[in-house]
Amino acid sequence: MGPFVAAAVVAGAFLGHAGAIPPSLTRSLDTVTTLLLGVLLFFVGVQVGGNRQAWQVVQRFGVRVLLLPLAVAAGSLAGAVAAGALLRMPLTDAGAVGAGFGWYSFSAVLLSRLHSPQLGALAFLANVLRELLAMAVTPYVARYIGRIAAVAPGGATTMDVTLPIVAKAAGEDAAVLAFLSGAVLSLLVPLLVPLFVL
Amino acid sequence: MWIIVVPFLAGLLIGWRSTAIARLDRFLDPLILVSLFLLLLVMGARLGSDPRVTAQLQEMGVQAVTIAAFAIAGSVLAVRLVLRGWLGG
Repeated sequence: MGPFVAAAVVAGAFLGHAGAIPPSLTRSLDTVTTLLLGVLLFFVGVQVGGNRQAWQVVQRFGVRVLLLPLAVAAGSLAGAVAAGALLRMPLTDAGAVGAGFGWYSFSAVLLSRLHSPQLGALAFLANVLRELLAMAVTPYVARYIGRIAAVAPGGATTMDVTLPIVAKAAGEDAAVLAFLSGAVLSLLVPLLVPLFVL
Repeated sequence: MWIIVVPFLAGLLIGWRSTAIARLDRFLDPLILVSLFLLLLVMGARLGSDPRVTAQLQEMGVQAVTIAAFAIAGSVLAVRLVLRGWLGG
């Protein structure tokens, strides 16, 4: 699963960079991605919905299920701040970028407006890379660290873009947790990002 | 972002309500794999063909990769700790 994901993304990036895709098509890639993602999430939805057992995790954890996104948030922020220290950049800037949790479009716009276009650009790239790295890493986390831990790498994107990968690599019960976690983290992004830079 | 959740919720509802469709499970697997592959390919292509992304990669690639990797590592670690401590394994 892991090599499959990485290979597909790298092959796509290579094709795109080499100009193998005509510009007319490049412009519509956004729409194509959204459509494909919609179709994919529908299939995953049918699978998860049809698996009654998958929903028992929520019953088992109860309200404590919220600890999962909170842990992802805390861990992401701690990691981003540690990276900032290593890079000798302002820790609040690093924290603000990390608080995007992979939601690059939104965090980039937020930080361009609240801080500077430079930090917005960094938020864009760092969160794009988080999404890509998460796709490549999630299958390995599921296999070697734990199925539920596979919810973590994708951050806010486990609600949509990386949800199919969690479902495939970690199972349908993990997908239920991933969706909930991603939704909570998406709500936290507009609250936490400004906290670091205002 | 939120609009993309609609097909997932629609799928959930259909899968939940109709056991007949849920029994198509083994046909769903190859469909999911093929569309996942296409999606990843297109997402890669979108980034690879975006001059902004390639320019930014040269300018602040190291910073961005470091923050992304540390954020991922931190989140996995934190979830492990929470699973051990409060959620009981």
